Amino acid sequence: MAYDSNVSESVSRRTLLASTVAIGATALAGCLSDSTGANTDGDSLSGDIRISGSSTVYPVAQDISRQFQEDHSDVNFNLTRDGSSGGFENVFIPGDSDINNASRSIADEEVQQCRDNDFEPVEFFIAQDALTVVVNNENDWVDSISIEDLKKIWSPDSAPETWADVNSEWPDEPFDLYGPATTSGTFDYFTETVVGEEGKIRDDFEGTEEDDQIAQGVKGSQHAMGYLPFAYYTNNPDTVKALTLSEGDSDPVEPSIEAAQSGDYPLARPLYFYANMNKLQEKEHLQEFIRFYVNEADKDFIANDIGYVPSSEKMVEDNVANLEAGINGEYKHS
Amino acid sequence: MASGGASVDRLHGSTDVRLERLKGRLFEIALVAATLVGIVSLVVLFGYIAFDTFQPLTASIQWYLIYIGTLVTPTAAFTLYARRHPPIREANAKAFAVIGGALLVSLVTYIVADALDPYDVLLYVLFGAIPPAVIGAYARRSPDRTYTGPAVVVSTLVGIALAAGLYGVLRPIVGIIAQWVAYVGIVTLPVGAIVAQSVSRRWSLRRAALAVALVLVGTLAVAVGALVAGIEPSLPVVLFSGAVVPIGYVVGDTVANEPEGRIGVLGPFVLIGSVALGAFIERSVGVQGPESYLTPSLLLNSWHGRNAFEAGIYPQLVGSIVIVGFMSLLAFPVAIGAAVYLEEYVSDSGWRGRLATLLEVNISNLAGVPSVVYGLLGLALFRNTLGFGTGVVIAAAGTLGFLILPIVIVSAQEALRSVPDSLRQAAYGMGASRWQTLRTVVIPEAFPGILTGTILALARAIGETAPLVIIAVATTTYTSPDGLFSTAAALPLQIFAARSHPDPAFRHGIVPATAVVLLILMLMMNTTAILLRNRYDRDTHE
Repeated sequence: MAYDSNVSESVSRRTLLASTVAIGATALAGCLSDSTGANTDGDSLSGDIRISGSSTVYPVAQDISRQFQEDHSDVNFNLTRDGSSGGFENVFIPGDSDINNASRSIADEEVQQCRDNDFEPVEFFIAQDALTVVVNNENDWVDSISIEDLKKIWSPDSAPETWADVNSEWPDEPFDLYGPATTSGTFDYFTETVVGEEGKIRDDFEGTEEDDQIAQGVKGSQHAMGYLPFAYYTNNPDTVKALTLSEGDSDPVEPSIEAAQSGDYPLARPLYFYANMNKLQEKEHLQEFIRFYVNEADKDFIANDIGYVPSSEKMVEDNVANLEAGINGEYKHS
Repeated sequence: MASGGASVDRLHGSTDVRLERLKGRLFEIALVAATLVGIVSLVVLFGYIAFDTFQPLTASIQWYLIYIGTLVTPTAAFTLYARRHPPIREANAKAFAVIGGALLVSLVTYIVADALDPYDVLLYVLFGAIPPAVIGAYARRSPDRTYTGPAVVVSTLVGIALAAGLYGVLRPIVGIIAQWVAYVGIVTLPVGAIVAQSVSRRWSLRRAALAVALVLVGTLAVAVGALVAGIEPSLPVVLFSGAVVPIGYVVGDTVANEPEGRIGVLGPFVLIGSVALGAFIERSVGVQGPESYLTPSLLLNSWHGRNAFEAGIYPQLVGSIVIVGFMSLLAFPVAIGAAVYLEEYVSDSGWRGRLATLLEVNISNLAGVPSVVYGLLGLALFRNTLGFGTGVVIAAAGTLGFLILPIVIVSAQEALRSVPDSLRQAAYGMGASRWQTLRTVVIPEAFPGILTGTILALARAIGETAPLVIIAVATTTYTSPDGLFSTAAALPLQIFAARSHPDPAFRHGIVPATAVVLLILMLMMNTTAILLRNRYDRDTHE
């Protein structure tokens, strides 16, 4: 035992010496070669930006933040999809996120809760999401429908059994209805605009979280009807047939970006984002990002690649005015 | 005899016996059907996902012919050959394990250290590892080892606390050195220490010193080479000392010392070589390969919402790995400690025994609580009570830690229970105390089982989505998390988000491809668990 430990002592000392020399040499070499370590791209913007809220607005926020990040690599983005209400309640109002996306305008109680937490939400109206009413490709009896007929079909008060109950020229076949689940912002908007009261709808429709399943459902049944975000329809135009919509005595309007932007298309849902004014005043990189965002929001890619209705010039001007008021701390939500 | 045969025949022919036999057959068929339902539906599901991911129909016939010629034929031939000779098969399996394992470990180390900042990692590794190493070295020479065990633990904790306390002073000093030197400290030094230990145990200390010197000189040469070539030397340094060194050690050792099986180490090289050859021919002939969605850009880019072929998941992948890594640091000591206490220390009778039974029943039930509930717990604890902010790494790691805690406790208890009581009694009989029995007999024997349970829990945690949604972990970030309190993105959330993308290329291409990445990550973790278990099983039984 004693002999062993002596041997190990003598050799381990040598090992120690050898490794010390080696580590020393390594460290020295490292010190000498440290001239390449500098990493500055001449961009002063840095910091975090947290974006929470609606999953409908998420694609726009994601794409614009990606573009911004490419030019400003020191700005870290963090995007969550919690839904408009979930984002307000859990993340934005407690002051954790800088921006909350919303597919509806902020509610009065939510504004009040923000003020209770000592900040003002600054509103930006950035795009619209047109809803498309779709039927099966083999449906040859209807190309156009009025909002009044839609209300009759979807309202729980009338709840017609068959197509013929709504219009005697249509076949005497039962409806097969598909739509977004009741948790969706699309559902809230549709019920409010078409049926007349938020959340009011007949209870025998097939509700689902996935747009894909609505399209597949409508595709699978000749007497089906459903409604979808326009972005989904433009990316999958062959699956189902879109109906033109008319309101009152007006001419039927085809769902399109142009019609929604001009205001002729009756089912176009406004998309917003809200910024925390305190953070807006504090964070220079947040100001720059929102400036970039609102100026980018009227570009073609929003229509062509994301499938939403881009901002009009008027909206961009309003947004820039809100941004400046927010930076100066003068914005007041009304 | 004849009459006996006749009566047996009559017995076999009787209706009762035939019915009984029929019942047995029908039961067996039902069991086979039950087994097949599960397996077939899984195969169909995975086949569907793989089909969408790799798009095999888009490749031309020539592409398949090239790869059948260069990849399938030689690999299959070699595998068949190796299977016939057990020593070769063993060497082949060992070579595959070391090459896969070393590449995986060094890549993950590089990715995580790169995300968290290598200088910080170096600081904590040095302060956490040097004091216990010094104490360990002292303990080898000193005959009195009473205090060394506790001292190793305490010195590690003190070292880490010191590093945290002196961070402001030390970080600028460490920051002077080049980044790759930090990686030498993180990867090369531990690898060198392991090589030294292994060599000195098998041969002599002199050889160990030589081996360490070789590793260091080799690493330096790689770094200098990279600097001369104008490449950032960090990744080459990590790959050399983390992968090339252990692979070289194991392969060289097998070739030198196992003359019967040495040809088996060629296995992985045959595979790599034939893939490279196939790729070379594919490139030079210009045939149409499959338009797979699982591409390098998927693994290395950050998310792109418009073009499916530019979308990448690197920050999400790193985020998931970092979250699960911190989670295991938080959860495993607690879980294994609780399991050892409940299994080995608590008495069966008295109020303590009843309390322990109550605890155990509750823990078993907690293992089945829906993960959303753990999300709410995490939100309440980390956001509302401790004020950590939503979606930060530590909140996510803590929430997932709570989620797997009961699973790990139950599996570790199971492993401890499977250690035969005779072993404990024998240890007590030789005068060992309870602590000595646990340390030298029970825990080493139970270790493979504990390890398997814990790594399966890791695999469960990495796929969790619901609790992460509740505590607002990010779906998309463009940078990897850089610390405990930085926000991280998680892979399952991005899969969920991409599922509702209007473009079918995302829904039917990127989603399955990302799912395959997640599955591969999980499979790698499970493989590690199995390999480690086999290794320790062999160590304890030989």
